[in-house]
Amino acid sequence: MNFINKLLLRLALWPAPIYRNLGVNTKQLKIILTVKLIMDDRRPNTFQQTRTRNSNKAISSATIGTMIISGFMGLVFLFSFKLSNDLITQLTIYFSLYLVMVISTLISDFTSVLIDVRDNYIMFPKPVADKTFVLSRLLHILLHITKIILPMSLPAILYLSIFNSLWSAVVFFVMVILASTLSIFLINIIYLIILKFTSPKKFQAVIIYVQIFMTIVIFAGYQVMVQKATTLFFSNFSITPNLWLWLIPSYWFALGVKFFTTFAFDLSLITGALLSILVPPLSLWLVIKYFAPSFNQKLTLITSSSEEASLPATSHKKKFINETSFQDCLSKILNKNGVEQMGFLLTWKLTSRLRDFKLKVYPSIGYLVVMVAVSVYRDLSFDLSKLLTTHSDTRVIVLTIVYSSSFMLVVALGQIQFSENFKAAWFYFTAPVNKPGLVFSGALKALTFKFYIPLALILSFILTYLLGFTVVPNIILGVCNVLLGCSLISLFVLRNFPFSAMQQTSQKIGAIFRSMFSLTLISLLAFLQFLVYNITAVVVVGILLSALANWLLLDYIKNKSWVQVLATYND
Amino acid sequence: MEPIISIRNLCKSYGTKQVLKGINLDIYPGQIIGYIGPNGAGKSTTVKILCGLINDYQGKVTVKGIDLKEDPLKVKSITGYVPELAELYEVLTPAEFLGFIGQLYDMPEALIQERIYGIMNAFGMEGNIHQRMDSFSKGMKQKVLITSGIMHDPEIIILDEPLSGLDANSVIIIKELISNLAREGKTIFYCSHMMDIVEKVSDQIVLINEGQVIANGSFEELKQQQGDNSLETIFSALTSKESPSLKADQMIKLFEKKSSI
Repeated sequence: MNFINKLLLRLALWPAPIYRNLGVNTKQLKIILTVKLIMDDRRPNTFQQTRTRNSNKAISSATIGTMIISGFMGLVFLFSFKLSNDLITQLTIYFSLYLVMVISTLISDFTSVLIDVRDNYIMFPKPVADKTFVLSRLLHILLHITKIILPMSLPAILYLSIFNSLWSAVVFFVMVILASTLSIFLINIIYLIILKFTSPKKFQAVIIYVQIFMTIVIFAGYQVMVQKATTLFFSNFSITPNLWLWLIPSYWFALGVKFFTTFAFDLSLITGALLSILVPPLSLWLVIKYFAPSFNQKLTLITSSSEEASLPATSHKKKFINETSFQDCLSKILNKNGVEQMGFLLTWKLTSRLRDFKLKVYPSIGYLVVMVAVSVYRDLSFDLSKLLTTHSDTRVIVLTIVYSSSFMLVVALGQIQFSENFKAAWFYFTAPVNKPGLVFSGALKALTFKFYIPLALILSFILTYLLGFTVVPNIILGVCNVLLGCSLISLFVLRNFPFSAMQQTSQKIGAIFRSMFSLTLISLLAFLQFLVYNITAVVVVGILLSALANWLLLDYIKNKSWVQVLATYND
Repeated sequence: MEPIISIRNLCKSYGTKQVLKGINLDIYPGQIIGYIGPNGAGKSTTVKILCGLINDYQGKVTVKGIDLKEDPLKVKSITGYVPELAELYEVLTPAEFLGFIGQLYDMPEALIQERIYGIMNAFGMEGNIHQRMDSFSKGMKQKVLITSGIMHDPEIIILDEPLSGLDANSVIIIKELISNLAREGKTIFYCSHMMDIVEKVSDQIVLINEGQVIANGSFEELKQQQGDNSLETIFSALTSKESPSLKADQMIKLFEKKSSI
């Protein structure tokens, strides 16, 4: 255990006599907390979860990593003090960022770290009193939160004590604690809403989507901040008192800080201050009194339901025999060979079901949407008539849209071969498959039709609608080139069967190199098209050439032999 | 003799589904109870109630005369449990995990160390004591779990499919261990699907189906009631509506059809 955990543990156990009076076995409490803190240290932290899992090297001091990253986030948040000269505006922005960050960090920790369902099996059969167990869980949650909020708020506390006053820093710190309390309440609300609408079984799957959504919100937040920064830096921007502002809790905390530093008797200041000090304790009381019990019960259901409830067998059977789903039809149209169909369907289905794949690829979809939204927002002056008249602008915009829409496909291609459950891929090797290349071509088709074609179709319609039919040849060439680029990428990147390899950090450098290569390749194709954009005859020839190249490449991939495939696995 | 475990009219429902429908059972010290039944019969639920994982049940369970609902801690401190699924904190090493468990039972530090090394040695895992368990095989994890269930020298040991994933040598160790422990007066509650082992080790066999006890007695008694058969055959006769061999035949017929096409 590192010194931070030791210190935290001592702090948590400081009121031991009080705990003993409550009927808690402090000796057991200490060992449970010790073990929990050791385990926290060995778990990849939330910030690393969406990234490559470090499977080879044992993680040993994740706590310090978490704290450093939190501290860094806190430094980034300081930026909100530079956006405006008005304290309330500064703090409202700060607390908004802070709340979103804390909630998104804790939301996944709650299921994976803080409420570990294995505790039931390991701790319940041992002579541990309920009170001890509950207190250990509460203290663990408290310590965990401290490890995140303390470094995160520290830069702002220092900033305030230097540039404002020591008193303001103290008030601010109290508000940070209150805001954190409120965030726990909000997380509980999110959990309850999820549990209300889904079965406990699907809970974990839904939490992933919430996580993905949060990642996107944070990304969007930063994008907007950067946008704002360029226009508003040092310009005395301030939010005007507005009725809807009262809906945002961060506004209350900002008002609270202002009130307790100035003690100005202003109605809105007093209201804000009251809300900021009353609502969090009230919410905590609600959590303890009403939410926690039902919540714990539901969480135990998450584990027990998988064992106890028997599945309705009939619905499954029906699905197998009668219904042919959309992906089955698509697979039959696109793939002639049975093996290729297997590759296609397996990829299609598993990409929507595997947790680690979703966590890594789906945020990229959100990033894309955010990027588009932000750039449209930036060019709000974006004039259609101007777009139609100045030709070079059109070229750039059309090509950017067509080529950048391949982003999702490229990310998916890079991720498809990896899975935490990679051992399940034994069947590729035991089945009498003649041409293993067909699995790859099937997977490539599935990814293309899932992550690119729908988007490409929508964008093509929009572009054609906006710019007229003259743009169609260029769109077709663009799409053909994207497909060509992705086939080429898959030739180099996609070397293992879908979901059959473990992702290792040692491959990270290779991964960076590969994505650079992918980016360069796609940009190169875009640049080539840019050169010939206005010469329709060349564009048409380009379409033919690109289509031919696509066909040849796909054929090459299909004919990939066992020797080539096994060479990768033997490496 | 007083029964060490006494279960009276034990019922348990999950929502509307009743899993246990009035189980009555007396278990005497020094006995090995083979607790068997088909999937979903309520075996795991009974075990979870006995070791304190589930406490909202109806009926009365007493262990050594102590009501499980009144003083669960006292019951838990004399019980050892080896769960079916390898539920352990995999980021810890066996030394850390077992040390933690030992401390929860309030064992002195020196004794904990002695037992961890002793048992791990017997399992041939002395070289793995300080390795993190996330890289362990199923059998290795099982050995750690078994150690965690017996290291505090409990009077009652509840084993839920304890041999899964173990190699032949370890299976022999466990089987010998079970009979030796019983000889020393420990009570063993053995839950399993492996009929041949249950048949050999158990003094008393309890067969449950659909939440009710449908047979209870020594293997000899069961044989007298159900004809001189193996436990496997008796089990199947009592719990399966259709004969298993008929089902196997049906499967074979599927293949015949395919080859005639």
